[in-house]
Amino acid sequence: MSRAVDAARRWLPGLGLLVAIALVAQLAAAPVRGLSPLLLAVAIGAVGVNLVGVPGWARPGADAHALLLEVGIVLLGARLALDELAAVGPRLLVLAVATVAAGLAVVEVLSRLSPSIDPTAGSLLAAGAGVCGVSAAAAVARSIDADESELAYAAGTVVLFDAITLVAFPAIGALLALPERTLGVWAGLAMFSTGPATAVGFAAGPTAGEFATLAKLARNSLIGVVAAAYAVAYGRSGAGSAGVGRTVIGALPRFLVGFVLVMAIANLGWLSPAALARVDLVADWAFLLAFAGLGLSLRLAPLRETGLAPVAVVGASLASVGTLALLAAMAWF
Amino acid sequence: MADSEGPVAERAGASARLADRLARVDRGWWATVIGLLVVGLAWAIP
Repeated sequence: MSRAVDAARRWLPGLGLLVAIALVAQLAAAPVRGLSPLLLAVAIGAVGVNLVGVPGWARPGADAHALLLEVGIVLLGARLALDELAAVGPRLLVLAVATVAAGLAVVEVLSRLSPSIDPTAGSLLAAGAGVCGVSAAAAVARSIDADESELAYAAGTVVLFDAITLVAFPAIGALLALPERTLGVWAGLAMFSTGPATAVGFAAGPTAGEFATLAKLARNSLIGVVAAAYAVAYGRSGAGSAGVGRTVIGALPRFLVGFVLVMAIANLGWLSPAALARVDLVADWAFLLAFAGLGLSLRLAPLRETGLAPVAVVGASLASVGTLALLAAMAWF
Repeated sequence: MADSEGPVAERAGASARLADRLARVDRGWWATVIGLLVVGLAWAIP
């Protein structure tokens, strides 16, 4: 019992802060046509953390944003029809494999050409930019025994581009008048971290949000293979093929299991329209709270230490792979 | 028998081991459990 009370004391203040930010974003965005409460929640969090920081009492709850995002994605499974997924899934998977391979190759080559980027740090940058942000960089760091400072270096660069793309992608989408499906697929294929990609998608509309999440999940599902390939390339694959298998399975995001289960339950017709509406409502709030917390995680001060070289390398990758992904999304979706 | 060897200490040890195990559970599994609980509640509410 005391353990439950302790956990509540630890988590509730920060969760309360996320709820407050979410409510302010909802209220402020409601009267303004075209202003998304999701992106406003990210912006309020980002401005707050960079101006005044996050108080110590709120940190544990505010850090729950990653869990809330994964809960939102698990629940999103209820919205997706299997026949629609079967129709677009193969195309998304092909594009995901192509963009991940291109992103890894561009960052690896450019970072090897830059004398100020260590090869290990270059590989972490490649994983972060190519697959799924900080979590991919962390998975590859484990598989090649990179040290903490190299991971922090890659994570700082990824967070900087998360902040930039959160503003740039909706602006470019509006400029080019991209349809929701195209914008969603592009964000899912080209943006680095899952949170910002889904935020940009859902800010444009539910269809864009679903396609952004699907495209991003297709990329995320490749993290196990990428981490295992790096372990082999760096000669750290452990006990041969068994070690490679363990790395592939171990690095897979576990919430994909929940996403598939919820999609199966919904597609079997076990949920009434009223039940589906309730699941939708909880998913919407999980995303809104997650994006408020995502904003609070976008601290820009530590990024001054990362230097210009990784920013130039990752920026070149984003520009080249992002352009190709945009053209592919426009042609196929 | 001293408390440190008795059933109370044994239960406390088991509870600490369980808490430790739960703390190590991957965040993605928690998201799966919470998501399925939400779906179960949404289904059960009349």
